[in-house]
Amino acid sequence: MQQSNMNSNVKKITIVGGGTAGWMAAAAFVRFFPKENYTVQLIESDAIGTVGVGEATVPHLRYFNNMLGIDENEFIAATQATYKLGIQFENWGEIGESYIHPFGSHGYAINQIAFHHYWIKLWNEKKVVPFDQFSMAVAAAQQGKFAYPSDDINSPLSTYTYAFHINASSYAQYLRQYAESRGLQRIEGKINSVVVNDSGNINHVTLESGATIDGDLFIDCSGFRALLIEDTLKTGYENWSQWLLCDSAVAMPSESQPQIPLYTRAIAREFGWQWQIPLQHRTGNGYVYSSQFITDEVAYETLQQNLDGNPTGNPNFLKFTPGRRLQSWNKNCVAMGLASGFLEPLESTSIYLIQVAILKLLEFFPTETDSTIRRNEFNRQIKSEYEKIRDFIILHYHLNRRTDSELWKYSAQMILPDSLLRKKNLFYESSHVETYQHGLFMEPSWLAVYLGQAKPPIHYDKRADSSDSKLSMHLNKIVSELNNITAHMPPASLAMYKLQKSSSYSVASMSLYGRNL
Amino acid sequence: MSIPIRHILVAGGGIIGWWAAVFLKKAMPDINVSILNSPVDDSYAVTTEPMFAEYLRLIGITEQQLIKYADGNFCFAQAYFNWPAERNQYFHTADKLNFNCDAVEFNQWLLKLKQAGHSLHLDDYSLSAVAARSGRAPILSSNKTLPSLSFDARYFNKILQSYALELGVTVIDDEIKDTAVDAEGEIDFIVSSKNGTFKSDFYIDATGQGDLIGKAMGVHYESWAVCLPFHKKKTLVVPPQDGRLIPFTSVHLSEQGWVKSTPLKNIVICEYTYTDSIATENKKDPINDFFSTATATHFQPGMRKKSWHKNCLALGSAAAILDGFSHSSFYLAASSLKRFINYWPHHPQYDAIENEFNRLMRMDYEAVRDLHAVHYAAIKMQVKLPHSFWSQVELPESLQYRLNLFMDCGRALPDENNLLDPTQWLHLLIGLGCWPRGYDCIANHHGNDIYWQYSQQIMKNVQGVAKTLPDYNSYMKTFVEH
Repeated sequence: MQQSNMNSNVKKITIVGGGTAGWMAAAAFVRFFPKENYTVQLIESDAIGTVGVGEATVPHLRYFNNMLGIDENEFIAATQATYKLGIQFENWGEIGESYIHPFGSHGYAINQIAFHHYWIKLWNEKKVVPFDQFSMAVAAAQQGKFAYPSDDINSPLSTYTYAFHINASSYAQYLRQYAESRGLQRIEGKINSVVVNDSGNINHVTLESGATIDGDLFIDCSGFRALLIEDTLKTGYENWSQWLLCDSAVAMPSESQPQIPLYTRAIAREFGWQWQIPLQHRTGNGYVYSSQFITDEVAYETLQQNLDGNPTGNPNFLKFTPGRRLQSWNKNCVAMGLASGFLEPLESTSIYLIQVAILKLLEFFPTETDSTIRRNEFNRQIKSEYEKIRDFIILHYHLNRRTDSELWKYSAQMILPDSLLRKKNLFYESSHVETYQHGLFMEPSWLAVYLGQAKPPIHYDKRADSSDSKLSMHLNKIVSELNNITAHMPPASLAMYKLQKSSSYSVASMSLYGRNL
Repeated sequence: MSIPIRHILVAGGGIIGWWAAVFLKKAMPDINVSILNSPVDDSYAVTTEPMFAEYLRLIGITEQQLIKYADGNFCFAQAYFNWPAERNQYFHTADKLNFNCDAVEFNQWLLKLKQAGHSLHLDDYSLSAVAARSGRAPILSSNKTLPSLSFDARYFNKILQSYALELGVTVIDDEIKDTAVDAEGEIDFIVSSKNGTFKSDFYIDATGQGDLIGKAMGVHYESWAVCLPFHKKKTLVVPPQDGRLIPFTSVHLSEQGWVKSTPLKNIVICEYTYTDSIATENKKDPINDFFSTATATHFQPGMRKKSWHKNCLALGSAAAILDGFSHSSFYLAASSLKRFINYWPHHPQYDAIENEFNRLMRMDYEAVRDLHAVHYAAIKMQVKLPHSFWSQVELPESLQYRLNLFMDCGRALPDENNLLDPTQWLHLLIGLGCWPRGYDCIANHHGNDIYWQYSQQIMKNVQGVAKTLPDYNSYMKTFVEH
């Protein structure tokens, strides 16, 4: 039977919860659903706080903003954002070691053979500087310099891209204004009950005020509570704590640093790791830890002892279970953000996962209440995104060489998920990274962690051997070229000031590495 | 396997065997490469993918040379006739058709128009299709990559042979009598009919039948007959109609199978892929008369469970047999050889590389299988009273899943390897008449009148540009001379 979209049964979208996820979804929906055909509404309560996830982001957020027609500089001002070129991982291999996972690639292929084979050869011969030194983004980040990436694919300036550190609450505020000014109806109130109809779909929710709010499609952005997707629909959750032992976090802001770094810091500690996210006017801090090994009090003390500036707020304690909802989209309810799963913010993926859920829902938006085919595909893709990121995060824990606690010893020896074990075996057998096309972290990221954190494989593409004795010189030249270019880049603070006056920021794409990839 | 590999023996003297010898020697000059030049049944016509130009460059052959010496001809489109039913006609091209209307993708607003009852033909929007149909050279097409290239395998074989000799490949003109496998299951040596035994570190099975990997090593062959139901083939070479060069291949559906015509510079190669399982009851199929002088060969579509097993790599038909719509066996062999060189076993512990290689090859072969099966799916889905033969054709699960999604919302999923551009897949289905039921809600952004105007404008532009293009025959004359 032919059925037309104009006769769509899904016309009223009700978003439950107004954190980062709720307002991102709201903004995207009002942007893409014409008012004549659709109603978008959002229920939130001023009485319920939000977790405010994702202060550190990945470059894809620029694409999202771009899609909404948001001016980048206005966004920076509104969210007190700073530029971000990567994440610095400290103490993850052994205590005292450090490397940056940049938003960019390393070196370039020589004779059609991937760069890292040459690097591994020279590293094993102790003839080369660390791998991250071959990244333009790392060179700039380490010297506190910033410039927009270039479109010229022959320039090293085209080999990276950038993201932001943002105040997530301000971002939600900003998107709220965006959505409300475009006709979104915000409903203030706490949800009292959720009513399901005969077919198992959510019919409406009742507020404490007694009001009932219906909808054809519900977006569950209620955070950890997962009010609709779990409390009501009992969707089920896959627990990943056999690989990711951390289940708690304590967060606390501190004064901003005089020199604002261009990277997020992820510092491994005895029972977890500490984040440091530099904003314009404050620094976000937190300690992610495993409650198996330490109490909240001890964790809080650890965090306090390791702040770079005076605290400017109270500690906020969080409990979580790493894993994902078995179906992000169940019945007529789509969960986004923390309601759909939790992965620790080690690789700044929280906002990305919200964004992906929104984009994929737009792609597979239902026209009838029962859209099994689209729902299955949406769920398949979300599952794949979560699992690929999960494997990448586990890799960080697994490749540690620390012996100072059970957490690290366990992680180094644990049985890996099959999908990760296969990748790891391939890499250590041949220096090849298993490739996939659809996912956030691609070869440059896997290499950044493999080679930044642990001993490289012994075996690499032997064709790299046939290159002449000048190889080492050639690689040195790459590093000095990167340093030269960096020397001519403006300091980040100046760049930010200057760039904010112009509006010619570079094109945003759904890539972690800029135009070259 | 003795590592490092110092010697490779290529078994089989078809174009895939010779290609492997040349490509290996060129990529690894230090390795001794021998070829056991035993005869292999090659198709006469080979049409490669646009990407193939890159491979040619790697071994130092230009497209001009291929056109000049191997009777080559460009292929800008594949025309489908009577597919899925009589009088249907569609020119399939690699054109991207990026005619987005604001944020609304081309195919999405097109679907919306279709649902509003407009009569639409996908190939009206494609410059390559409009130009190819009128005998013009669609060189100004917006995507800069050169199109597919067709050539005569018999001439190409000769080019490769002389090139191999020049590079220092050892040629053994002989036939395989037997292959000895050792206790570990590796190939120990090959026994030839006349020259005794040959021992090597690594073997390439380009025998077509899989004499090494299948017969000797026992790697199982998985049949895909249930979704690719044809198993016989006849080939005929005819002179071109009225002596003009045609810039597209064509595929005609007939009662018992289909005929693909590949026009080369001086001849046209016609291949009839068919089955006897469909009885021609009422009338005699004229196609059978046309091919009556040609001999039939049998083939079995499917793939080897592993194309790299221990010290043997299977290429071409020894690894997988697919229908001849696109992504020729030769192109897949060339790309898998390139992949193999990339994953080269440098030390005795190579299980993970072998597994990864085979995993990727399976994804590639299955993606192409699914694309080929789409042709039959189009018949199954549209022909009102399909012959019982067609109702017995079963689509692979992976394809059925993608088709369901496509029919539901007009989206084509990319394969995990990104071997095939999903838009190609989508265009093929729409072109063959499978219009989805739904479309993106974003397409409701504008009313139909805006899309209709836009569509008229695109067609007008395409026709306008096509008229300015040179005649294909004269274009080719200058192209070869340059």
